[in-house]
Amino acid sequence: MTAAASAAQARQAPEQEPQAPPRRSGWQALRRRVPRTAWICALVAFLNAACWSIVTPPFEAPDEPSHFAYTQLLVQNRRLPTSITENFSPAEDVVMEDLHILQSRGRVGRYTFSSASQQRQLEHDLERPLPRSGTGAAGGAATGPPLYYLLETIPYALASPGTLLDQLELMRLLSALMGAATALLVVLFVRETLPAARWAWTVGGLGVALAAPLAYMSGAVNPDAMLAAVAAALFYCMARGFRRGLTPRLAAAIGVLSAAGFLTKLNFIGLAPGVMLGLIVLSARIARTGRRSAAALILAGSLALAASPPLVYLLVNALSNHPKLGIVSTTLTLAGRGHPLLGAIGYIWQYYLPRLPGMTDHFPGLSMPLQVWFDKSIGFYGWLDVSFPVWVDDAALLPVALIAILCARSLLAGASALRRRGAELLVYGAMAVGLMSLIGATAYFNTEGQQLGFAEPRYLLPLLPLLGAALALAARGAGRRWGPVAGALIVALLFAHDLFSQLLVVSRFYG
Amino acid sequence: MRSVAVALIASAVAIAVAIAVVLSQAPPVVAGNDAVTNSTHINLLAGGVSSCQQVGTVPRGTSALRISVGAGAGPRVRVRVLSNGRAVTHGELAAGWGLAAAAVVPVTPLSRDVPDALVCTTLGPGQPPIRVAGSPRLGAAEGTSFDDLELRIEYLRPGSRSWWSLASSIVTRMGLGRAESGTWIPLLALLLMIAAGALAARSALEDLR
Repeated sequence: MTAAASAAQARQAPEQEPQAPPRRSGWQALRRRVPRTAWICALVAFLNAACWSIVTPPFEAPDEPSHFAYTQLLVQNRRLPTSITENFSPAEDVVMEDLHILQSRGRVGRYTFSSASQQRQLEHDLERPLPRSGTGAAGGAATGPPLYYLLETIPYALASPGTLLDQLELMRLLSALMGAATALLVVLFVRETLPAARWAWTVGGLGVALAAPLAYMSGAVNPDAMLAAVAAALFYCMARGFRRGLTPRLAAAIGVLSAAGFLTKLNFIGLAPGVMLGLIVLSARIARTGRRSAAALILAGSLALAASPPLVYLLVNALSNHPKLGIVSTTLTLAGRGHPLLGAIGYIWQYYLPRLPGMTDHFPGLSMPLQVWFDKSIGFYGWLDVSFPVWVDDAALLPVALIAILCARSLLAGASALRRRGAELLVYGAMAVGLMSLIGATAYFNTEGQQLGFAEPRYLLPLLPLLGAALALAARGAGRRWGPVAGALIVALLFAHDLFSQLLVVSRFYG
Repeated sequence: MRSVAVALIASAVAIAVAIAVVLSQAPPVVAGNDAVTNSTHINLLAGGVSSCQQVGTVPRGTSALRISVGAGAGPRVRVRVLSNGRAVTHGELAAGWGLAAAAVVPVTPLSRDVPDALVCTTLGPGQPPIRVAGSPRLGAAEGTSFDDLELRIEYLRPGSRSWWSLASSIVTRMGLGRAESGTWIPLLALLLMIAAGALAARSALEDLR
């Protein structure tokens, strides 16, 4: 049977549950269970991220030198970073100097690497046998957990016969694979949450696969790419649990994914309460069927798996006489010192939403939802110094408002179904609010005056499954007749935004 | 199916036209500067400050001023260019611009050279730190404030060459700064995006019905 015939057959029976398959290899089973649309979306996301990995010059993505240095330390020194300074290995330092990274960082209109003689110098230095072992410093990445960097040691090692920039490019491609996994998992999430509208899965999946912020981060060495994939997997598992029930296997998967999240980036702490709430709600459903001990066992097992990395971390820190929660301890200590709770809530509220009457104005002269979050979501690339002119941000309000209206229309039309799925929505909401609160609280308790440095859309990439669902809902909101056309236009809009974002980066660095 | 195909084709045409229009425009070039060096950097704890400085001649055609002010989410920046006490042009950059180390403020294009110009810069309320670079009027000192500092200002005007005419040099530059150099690098990027777009379009055509 041809692929097109399989797709046609699948379209004709969109609601059929998978039937008991004959015994197959793991890969074959995976291929069969994952819809073709999801694979295509994954491929689109990979191609897109791979393109971004070329368009973005080496080390010109947020903290990429630090993330590279962390991996390099793991391989060359066989140890975790010990310092947040930027005293990297001689090999990395020389390449960064050749590429004029520090001179161009944040300086729009200046990218000084543009001549053949500079290229010759770079190639000469790349061939020099400079030490790749570092001093233990990995910049801002040093305080992060190691899982992403451990995975990045694979491409690093594979490309080690080549130059340092070969290693960097291969490491970027691993991030691109993570971007592909994110897109694939978003399709699966949308399939579970909107099972009746098969055609709309494609809109959600392609929308995320072509989303410039995901491709930009997946085209760089940065743990945000992996956190997005882990979070998408968790959203999918939650949706599956709410639709089909929590099985021991699914609960174990949620536990393992949560452990992976903790080990990927500390921002996962923000998602954890929502995941825990989801597990409790799903276990309670099992308990209501009379299987109380089974429910308790599943819940306990899953939570134990999820909590194992933080518990080990606590133990290691306690035994080595370090702050028990690492850098999180600093935030918690500050939180306990003269920062009133209401003040923190008001601050975090205004970090995302318009100020309410009676609240202290924490951001005078600045609309955080529009001038920071929205505008930066439209374009915030390179070393966070590349953005569109203001008129583009303003013009983008129109299509985004139209998509929001269509999405709201779809939600209103399905209000009764929404009420039935209140607990599920509460869990997704808790995951989103938890992450956003963590980012806002980190800004609030930051003592170095860098509060707005935390207002970066890349930190919200773990919520991409919700964007995928919103895009699918928007397409459905146009009605059965015009929905597919609206879906096609949404996909085209995101593709256009992606293209112009890349042109913007090209103009910044090579123009 | 047909309406989806029409929507996709119309979108593709619109994107192609938009790219052609954008690339036919000329990127801005630096037409001059105020000869101030960024010898001193200060961090402001709040906005709501203003300062004026003599800048020499602001050249004809200037359509934006690039000022050495940076912030996490920049404050509103207003500039006025005065000659003999009269404003000859002005402009404003809305709050919220990114982490760049310089604010590019569009102004009404100047129809003539403005000698002995005075540029007044006003920063709206903003979040710390607002980083300002320039040269102290009275030499380096502790506690230099915004109006103690002469800012580095560059005058931008539309260049004479369109992006199209710069394409070959851009392609060459894109091939530099990597382990292997060559024009195949940007061509590979182009092919990847064409493949991604084609695949997405095909998937949309097959599934959206």
